[in-house]
Amino acid sequence: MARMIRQLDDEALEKPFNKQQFFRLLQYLKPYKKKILSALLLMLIAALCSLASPYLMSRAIGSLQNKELKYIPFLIAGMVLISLIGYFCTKYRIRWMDTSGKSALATLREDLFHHIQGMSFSFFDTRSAGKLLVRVINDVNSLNELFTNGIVNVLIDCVTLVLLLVIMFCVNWKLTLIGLCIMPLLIFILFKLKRVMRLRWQRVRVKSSTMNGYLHESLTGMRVTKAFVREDENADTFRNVNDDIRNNWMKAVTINNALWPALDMTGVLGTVLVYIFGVHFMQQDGLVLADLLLLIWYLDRFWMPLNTLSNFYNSLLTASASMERIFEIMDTPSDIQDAEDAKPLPPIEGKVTFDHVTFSYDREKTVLKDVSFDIEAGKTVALVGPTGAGKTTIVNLLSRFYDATQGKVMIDGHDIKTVQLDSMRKQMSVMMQDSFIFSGTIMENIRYGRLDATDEEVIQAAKTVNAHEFIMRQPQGYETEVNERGASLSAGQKQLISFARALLNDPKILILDEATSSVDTQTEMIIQKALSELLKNRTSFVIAHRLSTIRNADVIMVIRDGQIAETGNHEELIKIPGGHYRSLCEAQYRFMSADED
Amino acid sequence: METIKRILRALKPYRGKIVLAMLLQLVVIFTRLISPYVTKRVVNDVITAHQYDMLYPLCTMILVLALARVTSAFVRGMLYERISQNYAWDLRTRLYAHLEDMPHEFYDKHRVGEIMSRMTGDLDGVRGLIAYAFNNAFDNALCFVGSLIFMLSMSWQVTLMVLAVTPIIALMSYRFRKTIRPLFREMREQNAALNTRTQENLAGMHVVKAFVREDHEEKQFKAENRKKLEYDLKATWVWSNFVPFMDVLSSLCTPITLVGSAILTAMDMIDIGTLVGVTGYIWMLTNPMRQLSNIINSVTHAVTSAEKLFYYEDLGASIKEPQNARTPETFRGHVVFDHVTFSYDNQPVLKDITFEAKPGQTIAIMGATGSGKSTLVTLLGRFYDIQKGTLTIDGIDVKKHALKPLRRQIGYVAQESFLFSDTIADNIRYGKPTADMKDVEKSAKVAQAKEFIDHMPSGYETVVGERGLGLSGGQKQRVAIARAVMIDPAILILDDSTSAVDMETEYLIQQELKEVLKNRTTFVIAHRISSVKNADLILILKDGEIVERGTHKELIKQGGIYKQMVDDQMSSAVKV
Repeated sequence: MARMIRQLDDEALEKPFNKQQFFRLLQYLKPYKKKILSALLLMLIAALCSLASPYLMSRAIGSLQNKELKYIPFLIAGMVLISLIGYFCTKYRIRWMDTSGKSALATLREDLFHHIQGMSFSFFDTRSAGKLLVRVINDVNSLNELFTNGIVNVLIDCVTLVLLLVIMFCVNWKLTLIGLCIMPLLIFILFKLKRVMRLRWQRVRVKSSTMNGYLHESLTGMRVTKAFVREDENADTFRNVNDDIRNNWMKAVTINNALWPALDMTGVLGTVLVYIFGVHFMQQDGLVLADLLLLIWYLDRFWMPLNTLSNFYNSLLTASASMERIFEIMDTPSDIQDAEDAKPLPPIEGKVTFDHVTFSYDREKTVLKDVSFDIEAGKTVALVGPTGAGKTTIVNLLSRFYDATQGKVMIDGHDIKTVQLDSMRKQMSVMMQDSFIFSGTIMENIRYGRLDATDEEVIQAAKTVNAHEFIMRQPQGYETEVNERGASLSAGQKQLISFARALLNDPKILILDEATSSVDTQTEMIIQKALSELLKNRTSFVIAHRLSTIRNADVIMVIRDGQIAETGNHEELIKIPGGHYRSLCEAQYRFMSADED
Repeated sequence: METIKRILRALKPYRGKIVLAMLLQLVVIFTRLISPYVTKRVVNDVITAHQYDMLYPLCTMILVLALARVTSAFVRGMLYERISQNYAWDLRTRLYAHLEDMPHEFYDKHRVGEIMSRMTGDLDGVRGLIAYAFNNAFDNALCFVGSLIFMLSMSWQVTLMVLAVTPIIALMSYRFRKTIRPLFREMREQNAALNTRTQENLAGMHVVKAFVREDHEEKQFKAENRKKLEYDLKATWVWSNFVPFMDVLSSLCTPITLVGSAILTAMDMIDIGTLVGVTGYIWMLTNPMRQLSNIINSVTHAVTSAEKLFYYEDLGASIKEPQNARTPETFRGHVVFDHVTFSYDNQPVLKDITFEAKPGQTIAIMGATGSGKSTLVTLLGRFYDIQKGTLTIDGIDVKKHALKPLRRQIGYVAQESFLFSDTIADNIRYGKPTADMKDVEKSAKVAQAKEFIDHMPSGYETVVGERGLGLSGGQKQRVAIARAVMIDPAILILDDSTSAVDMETEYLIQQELKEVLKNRTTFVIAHRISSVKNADLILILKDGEIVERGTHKELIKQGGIYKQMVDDQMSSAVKV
């Protein structure tokens, strides 16, 4: 049990309810103000109707007690009318509230998604995709109850309680006071319990999110687990996590289960008191039976809203946790944004300049130190150097996935911070180490590079990177469905598809970040032939380990410890005695021919 | 119905608790039902007949009944919670173990997000069914029948009048269930679609950004989001047609009673206490009617969830070890492929593969992407079953091996190295949790990972993976190699596992591995000639078939595909 749940607990305990955020959330309901207000009105009417019903019944019993039948038809008509009004009120309340609440949430979700799309890489570096997914889907969903019913119900419950009190006091204030005399004590206990309850439910939530995290990861890594036969240990861990949930749940739910019986008992005590004193009043003060019954019936209805109200605070806290997490993201500004006076980048030639560029991801460890270079348009640049030297950082700065800490990155003389991001990235293509395939057809995946490309253009791009052949071997050719993990495709095939995708974009600047590492030699040779054709009018940056990829480049830059150690073409660099590039070539050659006897 | 039966069957172990809970529920219902009767007595005996000495005994009775009700309700509630929690615990851990038994094919075809939503949302739905819906349904049914009986005993005439509405309710409920069921399915599917859309967007964010496709992504997301809204509102519509209707039917019961009571009073056939009592029962009778829509709703929800879960549970693990599974005393790593043919989804992947790997040999496999190299090595751990031919390890057919001991002997380093959110040390000893730090460090050294780990903020205790520090591709690959070396396997598989490592480091790793794995059988998949040239046997795969085989020298002489590759690669490595 070495591997335990120490780093699994997802979120810390929640803070108390945040009013400001709540009002901010309510802004989303604003466009539906009219509908919501109408729904509120309907609910008020419905609440009044439901209160009127016992009243009419008690009057009826009063009449029947005295054998007076003449009012009975009116009372019956009244009740039927009340039922019908209730019908329309409920129907339209459901429709209007649900439409408003759910539409508002859909907008909130879209806003959140929109905000996430605008974030830069440093945002995604610190947040896992899984967690962001929970924000967009689950956290927004958990506001549903609050938006569609919660708030409105509470308002109505409050109104109902007040109305009940008023009517009861009007009917007989003395008996009402007697019936409710235990209530203050009850409310006191209720609010004391709330705190304990809140804390306990928070623990349950933390534990379930722990379980979700564990489950998600162990499903993702299931192949590794099976290969290393760790099933039993993992099942044990999972069982422990589940034990935790169960135990915490039982602790929390005990209070919930005790609440309603306590309310019920209090209610009965009140009723008994009303009976005893009521009978007394009937003898002395001339209280009529109908009024006594009315009080008892109303008293019965008093406890339900009280219970819902006490539950509301709890659900408000749950919602508030989601709310906070949503706004935390929406309040994080993107650190890469167009400057206010940013202009679109005109069509470029592809000249790239780094002017004393220094960069650090965390403002502590410097990754690039004072890097300067000039690359003419149309040249191919190879970046060479050990892992972690800063090769990827250079191309990330060029595509402005991050901003340089110091110095300037320029394309055709434009500082990239001063141009519109879209207009710039549209003229480049970046291919990463791991090629990502979206679920959809192969055709759609390639077309992602240029949405208005015709089928012929897509196929042409696929042919150029030598992907056509294997695509045609797929069951439905270009219309074959592939999924997110590209399960039916090999790593090399995925790379070929993303190659075609990049090519279709017809960029002026092309960046290949170890994009060919999983392609077999034959395929790579063919791709390289195709690429050399295509690179003609483009500036390209290539990061690769294989010398075969590197040696044909116009410029080779050896990067070491965040600095350019050597620059030049193959012939120039190879001549430097004791140079990094030279020793790299030597090592590789030795390696290639080692043990050849 | 079948699904509900199945859930009920699974509840068998909790029979005792359930019976107890039901008995307690009877107490609750009975005490609730008797209270209008007591009211009737108060009105008739105390108020109308002026027997004031009866007041206190009756009030005591009310209190005692209430106390019984409240206690039973509490205990019953806790029992149901306990049962449902135990059930959920049981189902969840059972399913988890079942998922661990699922073959690779299952994970090829089901997305993690989809499995997750089964294991969380759907499972919780089934738990809710047990904790609340069953209990609620039983409660309401009892309440309905009980108040009917009491009403009948008080005034059968009024009862019959009220009963006239029940056929309408039954009919409506049936129709509601029929319309809401397919809608729930659609909603669930749309939820999954939105989920997938979002997940892909987040996972492929670097592609989205690189191609400036944010707007395109938003448009697609919006489309799914709006579709979800549409389905949700469709459900609202159905709901809004049904719920108020049930409400109006149940509230109409009161005026109906009044009509009946008025007539009976006129005929002098009912006393005022009975009238009050009947009114009390009417409200008790109509509440279950109002609840009906809620119950149908939650039961339908839970049943669709349960169906999905049971679908998983019913998927048999297609790869099982036989009854008389065998395990050799010691593994030597002698692998024989004998005319092995393997198809996946009716697509042939490997055709008629025959070769032998003697203990201690190194077998290199090369070939174009998609030629079946990775598939070939996953067959060794029997992650897929072959259709034709035999694959034996140490003379025993893999299908006759005990699975876990077999897999424990295979150190597998996959193309894409997955690390868990845990410390580097625990990641390395993933296959051997009991290993001490000395062994961990030794494996790290073999994989050339020692140096960069020592540079980490907390060394071996640095947490990596999704919830930890991100490692570069090359670093991940080296940790993955260390993980495989750690278990001291009889067979080591390196599936293109040094692609992100630079050549010098790769060379060093190979040298170290040679030492450590002296008598181990090694399978190497690689693209670089340098990685394979020292192998005892090199296999060239093309479209699932072995087209060339032999040692480096033999293949050079053959002058085929391999020779071509060597020439290509040598020509680019320049002699200095």
